Amino acid sequence: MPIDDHAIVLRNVTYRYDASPALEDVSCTIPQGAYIGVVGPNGAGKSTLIRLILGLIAPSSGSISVMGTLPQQARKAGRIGYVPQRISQSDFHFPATVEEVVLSGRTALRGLGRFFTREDRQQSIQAMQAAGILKLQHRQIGTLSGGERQRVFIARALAGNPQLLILDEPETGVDAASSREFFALLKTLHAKGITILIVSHDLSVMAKEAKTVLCLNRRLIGHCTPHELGNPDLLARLYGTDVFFLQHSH
Amino acid sequence: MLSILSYDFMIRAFAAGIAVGILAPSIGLFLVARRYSFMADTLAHVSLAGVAAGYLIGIDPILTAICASLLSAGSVEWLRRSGSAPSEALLSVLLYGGLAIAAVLLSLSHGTNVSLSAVLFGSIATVTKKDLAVVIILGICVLSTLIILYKEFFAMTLDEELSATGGIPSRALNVLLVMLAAVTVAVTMRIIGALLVGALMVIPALAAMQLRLSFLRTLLVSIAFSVLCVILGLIVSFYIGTASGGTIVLFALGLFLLCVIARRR
Repeated sequence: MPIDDHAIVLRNVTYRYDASPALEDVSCTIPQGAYIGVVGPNGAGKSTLIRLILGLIAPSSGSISVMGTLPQQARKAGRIGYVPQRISQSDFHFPATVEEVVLSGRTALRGLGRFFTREDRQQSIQAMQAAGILKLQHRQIGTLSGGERQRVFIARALAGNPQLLILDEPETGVDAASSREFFALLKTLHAKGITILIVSHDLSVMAKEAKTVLCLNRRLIGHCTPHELGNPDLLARLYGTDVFFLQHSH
Repeated sequence: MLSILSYDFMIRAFAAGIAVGILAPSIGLFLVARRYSFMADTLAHVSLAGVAAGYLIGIDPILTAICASLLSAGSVEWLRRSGSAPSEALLSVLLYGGLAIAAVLLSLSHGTNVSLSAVLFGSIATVTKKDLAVVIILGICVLSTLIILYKEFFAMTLDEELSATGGIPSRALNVLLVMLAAVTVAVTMRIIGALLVGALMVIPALAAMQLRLSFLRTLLVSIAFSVLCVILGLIVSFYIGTASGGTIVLFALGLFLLCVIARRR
């Protein structure tokens, strides 16, 4: 497979905060159009992995390419959409409408000091349509539920037309019904060809939703199918203790 | 009304007041939305030290106030990034530091009591042509920057981490926003007074936020509220002889209460 067909390629990536490694010698290849989950215990390096893929930090050793280019270039070109952890659960007294928040996802693409154009507004309308929130566009963000707000920030990430969508613990603090709708939305986006990388602490959700799963505990413990997540040996290596995996329906 | 406008000093007062009325909430809304309201007060108290230094060394107090305010704005950002203490605690340290320096410098300078009262509570009736020119020129600079970088400031105010991730230079923009706030405080202080300058930056913005509008409309409404309060405050203070700064802020408080009541209905 030519390298441009890969969404993300990590080669022997190590990242150290001071002396201790947060990630050690991680290598993997994620093809374009993948729907991949990243699981692991607290302190496993999941957030560090996201920061590396986004190009916010550089690996201490090894190399990363995203969409065939350097992560920072891919991010600045708008090829990566990102929805950070707990953003939808923030205490929002922020005086802005859904439309304004989604449009702000095109800020960096338009360029410093340049005004938004009709194209920017059309792209943000399409993003709201894709996220199923067009009817909420004039609502103030503080008046929305957690699930609706989650969709707003996904629409914001989609406004830049990304090829790769990264979500950090998106199901945290969202009720079961909103969570179902949320994963249905991700499926639709995946069907449109967007590569989805989702970090989660919930093994059962990942087993149900993702097509492949990265098991991370500073090192890459496994790159497996959701079915293989039930393997007790894999779980013991991942969490460093015996773990029983009970699947539940979200 | 006509009799007020027959005085040159009141025409200058209205012009300066309206300029400040536009400027203060324009920056203030960004501070309030970022939960940085206390910043305006801190900058005002540090500016007070700048004013005192100006009186002591015989330089235009507005210039020294701007310098002190810019210096403290840079310090706040530097200390915040260093993670030495929570942001609000750092702002308190600077506020009390500014006040202490102002008290010491003012006690060293003699014969400034009248000016001190004007600095603390505002003295719009003594606005000179030079003051007016400074307010208007600096006001145009601050507003132009806000208009040109509006979308970046909005994105950064919404979420600093998210905007940085998207490739917006949030760190530099944050410093710039605080610097703009510093200049606004130093300029507005001459009109409203150091003790109340934060009020005109924060209260009209808070009042407009009660109406649950878009960010842009909240900004425009807060400017309208602020200008209205300045005009009403000036008229009332002219006729009944009250301090202009205090009167303006009381109108702003009244408007805020009306907006809170309107929202609850």
